[in-house]
Amino acid sequence: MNCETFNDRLDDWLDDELKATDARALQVHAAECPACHAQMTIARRLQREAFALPMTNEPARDLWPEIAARLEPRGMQGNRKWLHALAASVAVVAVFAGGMLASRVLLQGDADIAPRLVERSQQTELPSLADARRILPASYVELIDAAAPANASGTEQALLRNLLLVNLAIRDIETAMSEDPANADLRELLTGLYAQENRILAQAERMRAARPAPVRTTI
Amino acid sequence: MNIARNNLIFAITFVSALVGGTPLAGERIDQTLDVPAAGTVSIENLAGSVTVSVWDRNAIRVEGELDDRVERLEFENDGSFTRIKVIYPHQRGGDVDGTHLDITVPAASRLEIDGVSSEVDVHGVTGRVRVDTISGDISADGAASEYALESISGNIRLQGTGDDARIKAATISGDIRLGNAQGELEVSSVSGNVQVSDSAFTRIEAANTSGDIDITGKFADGGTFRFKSISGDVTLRFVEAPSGIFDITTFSGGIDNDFGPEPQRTGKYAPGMELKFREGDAETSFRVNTLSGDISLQKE
Amino acid sequence: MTMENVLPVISRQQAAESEATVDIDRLVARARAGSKPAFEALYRENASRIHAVCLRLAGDRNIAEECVQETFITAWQKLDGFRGESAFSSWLYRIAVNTVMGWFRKQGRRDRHIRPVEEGEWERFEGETSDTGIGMDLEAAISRLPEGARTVFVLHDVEGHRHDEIAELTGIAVGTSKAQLHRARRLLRERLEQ
Repeated sequence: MNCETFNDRLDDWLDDELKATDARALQVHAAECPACHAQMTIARRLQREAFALPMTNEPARDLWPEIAARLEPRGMQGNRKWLHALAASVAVVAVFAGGMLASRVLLQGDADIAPRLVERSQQTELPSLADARRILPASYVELIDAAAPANASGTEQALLRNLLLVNLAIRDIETAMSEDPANADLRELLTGLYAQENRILAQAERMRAARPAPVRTTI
Repeated sequence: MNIARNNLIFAITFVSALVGGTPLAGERIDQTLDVPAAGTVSIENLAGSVTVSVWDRNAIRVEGELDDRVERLEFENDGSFTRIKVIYPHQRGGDVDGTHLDITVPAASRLEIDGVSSEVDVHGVTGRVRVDTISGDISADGAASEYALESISGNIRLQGTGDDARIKAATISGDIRLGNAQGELEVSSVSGNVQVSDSAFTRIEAANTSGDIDITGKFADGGTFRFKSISGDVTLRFVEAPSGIFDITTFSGGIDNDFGPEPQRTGKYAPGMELKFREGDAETSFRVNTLSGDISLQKE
Repeated sequence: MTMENVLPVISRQQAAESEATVDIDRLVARARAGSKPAFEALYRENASRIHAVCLRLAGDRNIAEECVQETFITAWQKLDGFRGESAFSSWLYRIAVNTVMGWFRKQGRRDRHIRPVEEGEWERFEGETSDTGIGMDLEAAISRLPEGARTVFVLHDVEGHRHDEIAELTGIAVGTSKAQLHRARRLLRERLEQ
């Protein structure tokens, strides 16, 4: 091997892409040729250093405020439509007659006074099963599908829809807390919701564990 | 009657389907075992119903009708522990009509019932009642000192407890109704409604997400009473003159009260209301916290 | 599971500590349902990593910061499409790489900050000081590589991808990828020798 060939093949050698015989030849040449040996040393050092470069690099400034400002509100189709319909007809609702009138202001969007809240109508509707399947993470849906057989009188539905209900409530409280982080009342409610979510997931987990294995097993 | 420490294991086996013949329409059973007065009774019935009543014999009687698909019924006793379990074969497919069991136990028994979709009814037990179902309704009455009733979508009804009982009731979507309850209460639901009437408590921890909490009763002096809800309403009806320290807040709901000062806005631009005051002399502590649910304090 | 494992206003330290898959799952679930605070937590968890990738690929701080923002905004918009087949951070990483590639495509070949270079030439930024000697700042050198060579060098030698993965991530042909890698290494080795 000459120095020109050595240089041609050095990169392939670094990536373990040379045939064993060629690799051996390259190493032999490096042992005999100081210039090429130096090349090899530098090449390996570069490879090592490049791979050792840090995986993370903190931005010089906090980019979140700018990102947050550019995030369009997300949400369920149904929920948004319902809220908008309500907002169109009712701006301020007087809740109680004969006694203290408490005015409740319906808020929506990213109003800088207060966050969008899941407002309670006559009877709060559970989120739909379709929305629950769409929005909950796949692992939650899989767990509940595994836990509740299809014919178990709506249990699967109850678990999924209530799980989404709890998560939406968590979202709403987190939104409220982002504007009032010191609010201990909200934090108390949030903790309670985590507990509710845990309860639902734990129930599903117990149910899954109790089900017979889907594959036929010999005992 | 004295029960030997190691009773015979007493297993009853029924074959519900004959090979090559038509399945039997449901075996009838009627068996009785001697047991201690205050033993633990574990009952497992996947589907159908479980009805428990009491008598003053130191024995347990199991009567009922087995579902076609049942492999066997286990009814065995080992000292103070008795197990009644309806066993289905592993490869169980399709709908199960369910097994209906009528079980009579000593009044002081401690029950542990696992129901899945079974409806569970417990009458008159004075020991302890623990019931767990997935979708089966739970109904209990009696004078037990401890109740732990849990379901996902089944409704829970408890009518009457022992004095100073410890009561736990929890559902995900089922409704919870308590009447004539006494003692300490931990109750929670996610979307079911909680309604308590004619009761007297020394402590309450109640939590709901979208369901309501509605409690009518007496709140003992010096007790701690906490109620949390997200969008469900919380209503407390005081049968006796209310007395204690009240800490009532809602992030965006309303507050309506028959006693105490007027609720205040929590802030100039905040949608919430709060009501913090002292009424009377008692060291009782009331805390109600909702996100958007309305709060109502009423005097009967 | 502790009840308070995720707080809505979350410090970087707390974000870093919530490593468990279930916590990320919950954050993603909430972000999908519209929770900006949950998405902020995901941002805090991943920002340093995404910024490192964008900075090395872009070779310029301003472009990198813009790309980091674009990455997270795109991720927010595309959350519905994330079903958990891969880790959230991997999914975000792909968006970041695509974002930087897309940025270059938009900017075109000629640009104020990055000029095409001849073999062996190096870009010079305003205010750049000459080398201080033996110890070379590898990061700085990488940032001065020509765009194509830099992209492949970062993805291959720094990030550890194979050429077929690079082809899938960037649309660069495998053969081109190899050629660019060798070119990048040669340029950097010459620098190291000086």
